[in-house]
Amino acid sequence: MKSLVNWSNPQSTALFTDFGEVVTYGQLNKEVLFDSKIFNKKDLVFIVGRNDLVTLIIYLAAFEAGAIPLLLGADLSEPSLTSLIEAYSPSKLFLPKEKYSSLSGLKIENEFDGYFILSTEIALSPNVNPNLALLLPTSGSTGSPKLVRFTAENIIFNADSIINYLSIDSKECAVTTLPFNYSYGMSVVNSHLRAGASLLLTDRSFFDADFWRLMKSCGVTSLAGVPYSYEMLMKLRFERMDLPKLRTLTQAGGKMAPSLTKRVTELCKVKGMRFFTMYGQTEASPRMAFLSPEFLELKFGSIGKAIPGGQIWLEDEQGEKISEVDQIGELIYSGPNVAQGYAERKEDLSRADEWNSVLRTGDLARQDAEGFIFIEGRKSRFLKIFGVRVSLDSVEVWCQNKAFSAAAYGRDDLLMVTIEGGEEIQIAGLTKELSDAIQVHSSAIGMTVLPNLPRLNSGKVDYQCLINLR
Amino acid sequence: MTNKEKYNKVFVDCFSVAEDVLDGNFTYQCVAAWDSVGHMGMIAALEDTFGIMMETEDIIEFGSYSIGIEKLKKYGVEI
Repeated sequence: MKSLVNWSNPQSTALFTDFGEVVTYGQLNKEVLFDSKIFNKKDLVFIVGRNDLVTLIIYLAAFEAGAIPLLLGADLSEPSLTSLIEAYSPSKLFLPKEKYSSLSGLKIENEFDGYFILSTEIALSPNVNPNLALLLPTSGSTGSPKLVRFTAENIIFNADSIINYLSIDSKECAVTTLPFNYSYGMSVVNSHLRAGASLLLTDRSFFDADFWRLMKSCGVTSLAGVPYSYEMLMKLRFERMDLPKLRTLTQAGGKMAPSLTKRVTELCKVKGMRFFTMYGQTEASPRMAFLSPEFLELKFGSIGKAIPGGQIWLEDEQGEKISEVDQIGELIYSGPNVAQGYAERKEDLSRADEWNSVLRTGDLARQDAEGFIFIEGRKSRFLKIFGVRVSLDSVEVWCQNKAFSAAAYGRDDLLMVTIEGGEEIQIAGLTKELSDAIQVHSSAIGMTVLPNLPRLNSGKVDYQCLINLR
Repeated sequence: MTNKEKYNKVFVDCFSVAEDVLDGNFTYQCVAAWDSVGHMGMIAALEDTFGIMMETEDIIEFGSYSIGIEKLKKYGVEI
């Protein structure tokens, strides 16, 4: 199998860490080869980690050993982790030591700085799809065990395509501003390691003074963000910062407010930086489209065109391809980076490729005369909250499980939940519980109570009325 | 309301905590709600409350309840 990483320059720097360590590709290769012996081919491995050296080495070791890693964030709640373990019975778990207590029945196989590898001694069924190489959660959703199934080719094709359009070479250095287990964060890591470039591995936020010190000392050239990241950067008067090495900004993870895009575009023009606005979904490993910086003003608000090697077209409600300019339809993407399908339990890991390189995104879009694509809305009921996809239906189901009748709606970065009831509803407590369950910051949840939810004649909730009430 | 009451109210509202936990030990990331998202909300609320615009260094060095009191002095806000 092709390696994910470009190992051809052992002397060049692969990683900078939070603690000032510098790791060359040669050293990284040695560590990865050594740790890959922990895993057997087709072991299902849960990697509950952070943006740090140990997690990255274990991820690469598992991938290179032909095991099947599932990437999860260290902030995953214990009930969610338990339900994933029940649904998939992994062979091995890599996890922070502090998460170990609840799983004390399992054997500790290896110990690393801050982490354990536990063995369940469960072997994966021999029927598992031989091409399956990686799993990612669909969203930071309500403990849902729904995962996306990737092949190594999906991941490698996407990384190569990103290297191509961002022109990443070995002189580049990216910083991990997003969690590694989030598809956008993973693609930053993969594309830079595959280009032989370097990475600053950190979990520090923009509000941490050390983050900016590291940015300078490591000479970071490229920074990735979701819309909320750019809000934070603007709040921090990013335009006044002196970061002479930084030359590329990328944005994905949901549609950014036009006023914000405008500010970032202007800032980049003044500073001589490139700004790429991009479009993707986890199901496409994740990149599908990007807008070249030279079109930022001319095609303002567009997600651009398909990435190299991919294709985008629009379909109407009858599934017919739309050829007219500016007519809205569902965005369909086709390319070798489209995953093989979903899994909801262990048995699904033996499923064949169900998508055949074609992804129906559920996003509604139009295409202008020059072929530039503009997202106009969503067909399905999902919001993106700080880059995390939240299913409105699953929020309603969560409320139902608490014996509340509720309606979830909102816009990107604001989840509104209206609950049917009276004074007995504890809004603050319930908001916090929901926030923990779906891993969305409570400030992004607006909860209200109404004696009765407005309904249409059909009995369905009248969401338009709820939106107007606000 | 005094400046102290206004200052405390921002913390209580932003991080859903009781007023009596607010002291020198109340620091960035000491509660789940004070993460980067919570930090930005708190800075915005302080700027609105006191009608000020904070500098980058002050926003990123605003690491605790007590440090914040020092930082606000620079903007003529005595807590």
